[in-house]
Amino acid sequence: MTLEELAKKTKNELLSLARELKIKNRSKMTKEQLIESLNTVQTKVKAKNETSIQAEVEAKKITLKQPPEPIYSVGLSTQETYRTEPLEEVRFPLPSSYNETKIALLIRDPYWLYAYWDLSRETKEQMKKDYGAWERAPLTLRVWVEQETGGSEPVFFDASVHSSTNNWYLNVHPNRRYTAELGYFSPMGKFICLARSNTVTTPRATVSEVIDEEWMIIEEDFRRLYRLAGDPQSGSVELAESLLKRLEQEMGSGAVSSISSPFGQPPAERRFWLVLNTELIVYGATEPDAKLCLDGQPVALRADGSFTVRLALPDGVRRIPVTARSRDGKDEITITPVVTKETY
Amino acid sequence: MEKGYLCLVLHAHLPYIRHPEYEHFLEEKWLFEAITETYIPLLRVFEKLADDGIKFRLTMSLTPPLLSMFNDGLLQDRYLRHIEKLIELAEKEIERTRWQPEFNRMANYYRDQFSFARWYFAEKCGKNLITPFRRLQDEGYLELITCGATHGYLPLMLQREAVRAQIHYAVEYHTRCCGQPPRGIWLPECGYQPGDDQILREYGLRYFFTDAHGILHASPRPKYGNFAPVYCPSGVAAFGRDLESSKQVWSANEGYPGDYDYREFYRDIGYDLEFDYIRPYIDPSGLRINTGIKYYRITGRTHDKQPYNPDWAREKAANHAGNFMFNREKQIEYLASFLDRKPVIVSPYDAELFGHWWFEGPQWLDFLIRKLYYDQQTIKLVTPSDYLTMYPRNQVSTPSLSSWGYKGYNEVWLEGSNDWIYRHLHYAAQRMVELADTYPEATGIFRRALNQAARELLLAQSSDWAFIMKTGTVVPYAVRRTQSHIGRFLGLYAQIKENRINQNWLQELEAKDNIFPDLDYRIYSSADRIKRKVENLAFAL
Repeated sequence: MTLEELAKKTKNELLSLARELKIKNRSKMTKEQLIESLNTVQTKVKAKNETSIQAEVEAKKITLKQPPEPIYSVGLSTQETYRTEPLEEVRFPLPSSYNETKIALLIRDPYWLYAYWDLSRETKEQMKKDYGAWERAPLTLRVWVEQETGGSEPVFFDASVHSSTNNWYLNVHPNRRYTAELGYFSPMGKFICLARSNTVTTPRATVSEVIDEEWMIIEEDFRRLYRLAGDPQSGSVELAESLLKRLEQEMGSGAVSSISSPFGQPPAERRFWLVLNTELIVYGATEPDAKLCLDGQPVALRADGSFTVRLALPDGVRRIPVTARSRDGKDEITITPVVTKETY
Repeated sequence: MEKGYLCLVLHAHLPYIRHPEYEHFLEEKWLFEAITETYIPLLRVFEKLADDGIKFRLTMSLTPPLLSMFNDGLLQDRYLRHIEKLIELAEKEIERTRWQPEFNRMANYYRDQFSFARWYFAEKCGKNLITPFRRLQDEGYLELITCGATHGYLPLMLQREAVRAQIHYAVEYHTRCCGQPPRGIWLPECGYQPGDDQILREYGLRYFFTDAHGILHASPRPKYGNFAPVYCPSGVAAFGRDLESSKQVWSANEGYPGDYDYREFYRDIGYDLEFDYIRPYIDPSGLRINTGIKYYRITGRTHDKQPYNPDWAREKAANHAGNFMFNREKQIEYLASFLDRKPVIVSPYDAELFGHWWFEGPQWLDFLIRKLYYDQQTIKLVTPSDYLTMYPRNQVSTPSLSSWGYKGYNEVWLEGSNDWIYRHLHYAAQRMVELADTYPEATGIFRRALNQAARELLLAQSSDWAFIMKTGTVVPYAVRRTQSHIGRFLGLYAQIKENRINQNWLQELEAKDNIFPDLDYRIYSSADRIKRKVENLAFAL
């Protein structure tokens, strides 16, 4: 977004953007300060995105040089090596392109859309004609915007994207309709549209301004309802902002949606530690049909008359009488080890 | 006379995990743990309440993948094997902890819990847990509702047919398992996109839930906020979640489950005990895992955990139930002071929170329902159907796109770690619709291949995989599941189109990804014909 575009926004819109980009002290800023910090951060984010794409390209090049691996190791970490799928599965690797020219838009939230696209070989040929190599054609997303309520003429903005990527996040406004065109500029500067996306409507980020006369509520009462949903700690901040804060607290699927996601991680602090426990193993053997008791409790014998008892051993002195009694009850032998455990 | 209503909703879901090709499979344990720690304890609570003559109404979603796993013979037998091993371990623990009475008491407790689970599962329910849920439904305690066929996240689907298939098969399978068509649905991850309600309407579903802002940001502005449902233009009712009551239970920091007297989840003998001793009860690879036997209480923000005391914990669960009830009473009295109708507070939770993560959760729920029944008159427990019967007239308004994921929209399932999956999911969905339209009357092996392609697509769509990729717990597994199902789909697609179906491979896939044996691929047909047939089915039932 350019400085001019930022300047046209209301302070609330700027605040929302600032929240998106996690700008500190945003609620204390004036509109001018907001614009300034947004502009700085945006530039940084952009630079960062570009580097990560570069890195991605590098990574892809390297993968290509390696001998083809079974599909299940693609993009997986080394952890996976302890289990491998039967070989037949290698037959259907996921293609990086489906050889069709298309673009699709998905909504991430009121402020961000995700676009992904694909180019067919034919399309690439077409671009190659103009530029020698298709990668050199200035690939561009033309994003058309309409107010949800209609009325205004649709407008667009262009986002130029690098040929090495096939997806992009677009910063947008809540409650508007968006359609994206995938295309490139011809050497003459003409936009050539290759594909048109589905149309999406971003959700509103606040209360609807549309009021149904039959179901009117006093403004103050509605604010009371809204406040119940919001974060009580957010004080005088705008209601919508307070609600969004509440949504950032983990209490939905983010917390425990799947049994695999522990809620409240164990304390992660890094520190040196030692745990020490002791156990006592008492073992022996007697006639296989004898009855054996350890400290008054019966102990099961194995088929050969041997036995093992394993006991956690806390500090203290313990007498452990072990008594074997013959099947006919005539013979009885007791052995009593005494164990002292102390910890210093 | 009550002044308002409380609608408790438990969402029970686990992804379809079943690997006949392995003798032991780590992730299958999610189901086993949930059966022992959540589903059976909850059923036990409900049955005891019913035995004690306490009337209650509770809404519970049982997702189709979970129902399928309940129905699956292999998993049933593996659960028995699992619980029998656990009983054996608990027996050993009783002996081992003889000189540690504080642990010995818990070892005995676990032995009893596991033995009970075994008896309940094998003897009482004939190995199928759907039976007791269905009984509680038929007796009027539970309102069982459905979810997406494989918990696919609907707002990120591009093809209407893909959304429709998720709903269509869910309604069909639920009806078969639970004996009556579901009246409502828990949208996967509470993810709602305007327009999806039209499809719910086609299948006779009368209500769904959204997160608080789904209703608060609905348009026109909803008169009662999220304390009354609105009707979507399609006529399907949307109930909004109450965040205050959610926070008290969910929040890891401020919520009840973090109380220092409650059981600590992270100290498990699977990690704590000597390797050779515990080895037969952890993963065969030697990887230490949770066994379910845990002896400590949360204690505080410390590594020095103290032994668990069940009496203290029980006392806390009772207090927390009282506190929850008190807060709902206050909330309802406050709302009643300026609203001209009785408010309904909707409190949905993941069922697996109770018992698995929050050990005392089922106890808390038991106390809460008893207290609500005996100790007060302000609040009445209702299900959404009950509420709509009392208040058939509601404002018409379109809820806003929303989910109950972190930050309230689609970001959990669409961000750097998982956004790559959508181009594949959308492509496969598009091809599936094409197949269904091209071959409307397939028979024999073609039909089987088409049905299997539909199964692979549905399995690939489970929101669980994207969720796991984001949360980073067992990422390689989630990536692999996405890749295998899409890969298998693409393989089947090519074989069908080129008329060269590999029968052995198809058979293998049918045995491996055997979810929904009766699935009919024509649910993906874009033709009206099939749709109408289904409408008749849904309404006739």
